[in-house]
Amino acid sequence: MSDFQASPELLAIYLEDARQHLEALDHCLLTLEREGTDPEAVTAVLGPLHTLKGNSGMIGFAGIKDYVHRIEDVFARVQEGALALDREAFDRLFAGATALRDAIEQASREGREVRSLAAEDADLQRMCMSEAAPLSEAAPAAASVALPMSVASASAVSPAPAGPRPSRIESHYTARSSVVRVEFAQLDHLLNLVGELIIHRTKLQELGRALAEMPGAREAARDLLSAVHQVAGVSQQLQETVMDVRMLPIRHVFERFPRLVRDLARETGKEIELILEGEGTRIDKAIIDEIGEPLVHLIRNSVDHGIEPPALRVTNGKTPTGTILLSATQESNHVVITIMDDGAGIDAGTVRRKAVERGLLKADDALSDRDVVQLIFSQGFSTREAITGVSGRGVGLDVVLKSIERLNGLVEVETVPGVGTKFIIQLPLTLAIISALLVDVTDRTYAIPLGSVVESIQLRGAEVHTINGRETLRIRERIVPLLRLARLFGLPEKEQAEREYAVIIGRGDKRVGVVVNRLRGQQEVVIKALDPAVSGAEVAMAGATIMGDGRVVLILDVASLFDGKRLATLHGRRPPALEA
Amino acid sequence: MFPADAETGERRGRIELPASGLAADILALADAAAVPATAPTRPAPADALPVPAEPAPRAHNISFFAAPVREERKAAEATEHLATFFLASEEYGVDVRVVQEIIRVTEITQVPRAPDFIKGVINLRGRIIPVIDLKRKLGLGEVALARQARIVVVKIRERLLGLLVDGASQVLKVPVSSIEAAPEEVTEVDATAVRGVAKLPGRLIILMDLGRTLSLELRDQEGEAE
Amino acid sequence: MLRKILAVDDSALIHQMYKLFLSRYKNCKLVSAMNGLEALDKLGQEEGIDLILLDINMPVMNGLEFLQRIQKEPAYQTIPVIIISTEGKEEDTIRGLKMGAKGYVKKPFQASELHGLIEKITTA
Repeated sequence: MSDFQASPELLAIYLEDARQHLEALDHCLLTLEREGTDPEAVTAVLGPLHTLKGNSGMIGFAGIKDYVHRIEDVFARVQEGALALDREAFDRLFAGATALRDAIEQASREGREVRSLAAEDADLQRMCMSEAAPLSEAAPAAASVALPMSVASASAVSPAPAGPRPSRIESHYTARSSVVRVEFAQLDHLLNLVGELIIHRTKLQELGRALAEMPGAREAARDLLSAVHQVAGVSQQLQETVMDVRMLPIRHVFERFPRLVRDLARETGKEIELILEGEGTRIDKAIIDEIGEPLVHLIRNSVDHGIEPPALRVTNGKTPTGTILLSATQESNHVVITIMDDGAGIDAGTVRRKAVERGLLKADDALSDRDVVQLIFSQGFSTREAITGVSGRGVGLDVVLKSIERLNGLVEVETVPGVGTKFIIQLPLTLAIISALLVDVTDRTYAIPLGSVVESIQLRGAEVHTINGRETLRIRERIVPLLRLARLFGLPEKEQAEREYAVIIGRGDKRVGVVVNRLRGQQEVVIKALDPAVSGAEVAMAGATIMGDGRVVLILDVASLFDGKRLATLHGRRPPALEA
Repeated sequence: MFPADAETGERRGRIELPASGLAADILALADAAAVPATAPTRPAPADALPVPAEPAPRAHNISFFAAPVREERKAAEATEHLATFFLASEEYGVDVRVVQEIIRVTEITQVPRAPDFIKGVINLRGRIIPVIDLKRKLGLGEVALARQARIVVVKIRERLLGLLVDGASQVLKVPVSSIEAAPEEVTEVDATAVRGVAKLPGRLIILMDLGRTLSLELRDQEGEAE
Repeated sequence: MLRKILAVDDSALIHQMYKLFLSRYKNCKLVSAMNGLEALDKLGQEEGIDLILLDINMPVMNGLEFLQRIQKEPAYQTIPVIIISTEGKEEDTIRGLKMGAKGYVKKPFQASELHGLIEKITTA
């Protein structure tokens, strides 16, 4: 129909724009449901709908455009007082909003409309045509009926100090030209450039020092070094500024959750209140992009297995409405996100039993209750029946653990049976730069994320014991298995190395020692992603970094070092025939 | 300030306007149909203004507009723009649009336990890209790191990959008429990677389908089996 | 000869499409504004705007108010304005035409539609 083919770039812009408008729609629906027909909320949503309609038409999605027009109609009627929204109407509108979102996401992916909205359109049309009760009778859904979801305090949802109107909608409208939209790829590029600047600056410094050695050039060298020092200062600030620009408030992730909790609560017949705290806490965009999914899993978990049905809660002396608190704070150089519920808690006894059943634990293992509960993150340990004995739509917490570890983060759980459960996630402020320990394996240099390094010690042959064919080291009271990186990497091992070192790496309370030939010191490094073609190698690398002299150094993926079975095979395997 | 929407009453009874129009025409007709533009009451229902019959003006009027793009496109279809390189003594060609640059071989950092055709990674102006030994990939042996060896940096689906080859040749346009399907005797390379052969005077260029050749590497992460 | 076109719309998508649709006018600079207020700023900053493409529904300052303001300025009132109309807002479009806009095109519009109108208006 149109005389152009929507390019991927156009579709991307359309989609990003549309997502914002859909958020505004969700917000408006939530506000109306909670507080009754607020004329300002309705007006605030008409603008985004109008733009969305226009955009959809321009890009050629006629079906979507017509449907948005239908939604506009509904709201126009509400505004005129010709239509009142009861609980059922809200359900249909929410369902309609979800359908619209689906249709838009699909269409943007495919470049053409895939899903028909005819059914939803007819549904809304019927709603418009039904007799409208006068406004005064249509009490807001909040008044007489116990709401399945409400946001405790206005300040929890909107950053504005007072007033019920979500300022998210306002900020969409302020549209001041002092704000610029930047592609995240541009920020990555900036960071790369800063990285290169630092590399060149280092070279200049070295040159300056070399020059200083030459007689007659000393003064020139001094001037050069002084100028380079200035450059260093500026490039440092540049780096900090770019890192700062990449940090966004975690609100971007949190804002979908009120809707999610509302829907889940309705589905499960429970009454749940979601409280959000610390949405202004800032974190690197790269992390924001990845943390959403694990958080959704954990929230679902709380709703499914944590919060009890209202009747049961009352029987146990609790309020019928359960609470989930999602909060984010910054502590020194981490961000801590907690998800706390006042639900049923996790029974350590049940977990212990299931763990023994699955072979994760021996019956006589003396693990404390607190440690036993951490086992719910183990691979293959489905929380479904394990925790409550109720089969439901459980989610693999091992997947959550993996996602968080991929972000160089940690997650723990605290629980009191009958009282509640708290998941604590700790994340670095930024993914892009980490402290690393540089080591040499044979003649090659690798980097190990310092956050995972417990200690490093010089290896003396005598202390290494072989147990069941595996080399181990005794450190204080622990037995730590050893991995010879040269063998693991398939590199020639140094015969009778004068010195070897074991770098002890920890994950939770597990330990493994990797054997290297040299310790080269600690350094802050900028992590660069590895193309997926390379990460498919059998030894996992978390990324790579570029040294001052332009050399590439690979960064070890620490989590993979604990994958016992896989590594044992590689470790035992002879290295392939090496080229001359 | 003008209210952006002065809708009162039913939406259905609105003015209908054609897809586009000039003020002069529309206003004349609007006056004739006595449609009040600023009155708060709604206009007479379903007043349709007649559609101006004129089609868009023809090409002769575009004295100061650029010539239509269509003609250029037609000419382009007649040739293929290739970047060519050598593997052993055979010449291969790929669509020049996927080639970002061709560089000399710099220090390649090996990746432990990677598949044998992944030579390693290199630092390309701050970006880390994998280097694939194209001969190993195609089962033709191995690229020697001699002085003429080159890395052809290609961009496919937003990913940058380096292809290690024995030597670079040139960038050239070949007429589509010179391209034929590859005969089996031409090369030992897996037939699916080759999409044709360009026959030029004294020379044969094997046209490679990079998407197919690198299909394993280009596969999305989610598709990878454990 | 079109040297500069000012496009006023609160949708980033539409601006992107304008870039596409108007690329045929070589050596013509496309200036964008997200609302009427920004558009007034741009008019002040950029010399030689030959044509304005104007959306009506925008935050901060809508198209009609913007139009009203520029009609009062001798420097700007001669610049031809094309209103980008939307379904349901025909009255606003007519109002705009009465205020001096030279023509309109309805969303969704095709590139050829826009080109045709631009030609008619600028050769008049």
